[in-house]
Amino acid sequence: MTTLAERLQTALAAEHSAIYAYGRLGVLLDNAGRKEARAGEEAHRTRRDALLVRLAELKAEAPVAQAGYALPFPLADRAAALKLAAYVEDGVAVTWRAALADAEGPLRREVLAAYTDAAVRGTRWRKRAGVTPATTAYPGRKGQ
Amino acid sequence: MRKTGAVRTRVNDHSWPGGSRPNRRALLRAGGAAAAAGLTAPALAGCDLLSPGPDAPPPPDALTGLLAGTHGLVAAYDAALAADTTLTALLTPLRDTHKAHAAALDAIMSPKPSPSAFSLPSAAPVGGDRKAILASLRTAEASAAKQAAEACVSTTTARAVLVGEIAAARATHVEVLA
Repeated sequence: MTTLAERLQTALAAEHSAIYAYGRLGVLLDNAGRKEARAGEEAHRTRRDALLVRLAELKAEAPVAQAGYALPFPLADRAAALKLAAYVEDGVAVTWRAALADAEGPLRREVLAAYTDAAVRGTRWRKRAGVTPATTAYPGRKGQ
Repeated sequence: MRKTGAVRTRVNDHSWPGGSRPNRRALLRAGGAAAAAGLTAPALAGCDLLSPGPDAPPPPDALTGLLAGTHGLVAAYDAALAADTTLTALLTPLRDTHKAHAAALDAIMSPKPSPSAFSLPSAAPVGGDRKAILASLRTAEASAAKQAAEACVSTTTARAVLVGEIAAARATHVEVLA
């Protein structure tokens, strides 16, 4: 059975990879896109820091960021950058969604906020890329 | 053999002297003693604490308000779609998401909500231009997202994921309507 600490460790690993991806993809975007990417990266840093605190409280090990991450597809142009941004947000949403049932009260509220924010940013990137529909009925649910 | 000290009363006395067996009404008047329970089971079943009688319907499911809000959103989208056909591509997936959420909630609720409980009168025609329609839906979605987020925080562990998904989906709708 997966514990809350394990769920949060998975979420932290996803936050690390999102921070890395935003650092790579921003340069391929226009000014508005870069601004959005900076905001996204900052949001993920904030979540990462909060997760480090929470995992320390739980006396659970915190996964460290890797020096680099394999990208799911070549990052060559604006279209790929937008696709990657949506991809990482969807990945982050998956991990936070999975933690919902293991968290209660104020922690569930935190988890829900992180999950919702990732789902909204993923939608925003798809909208920017002209992908329709930009939403799914169950954000972060695999197979959606 | 009776235990020493047991009190023999009219109610628990099974030896009924010939011709003096009390009728059922008399037994009930005697206070519904345990010895009578077997004889009066049908009449007393409704008093069972664990099974409310026909006069006490079970309380509605805690997600009833969320489901009602979901049906309200479907109606709002239906009205908007009827008012402006140029919005079909944008709004149809959002409306269909709310329909899927309503079905998913309905499937897990107990007692099952009555199908007619949420049949809204046909929604009033939507006035205003495209911008006003979208603004109105955006406001409704933002409020509905908050409602679902609160429901997610207070619901049971088993329901947290579905209700959380509904909250997140509504928040993404606000984004596409912006």
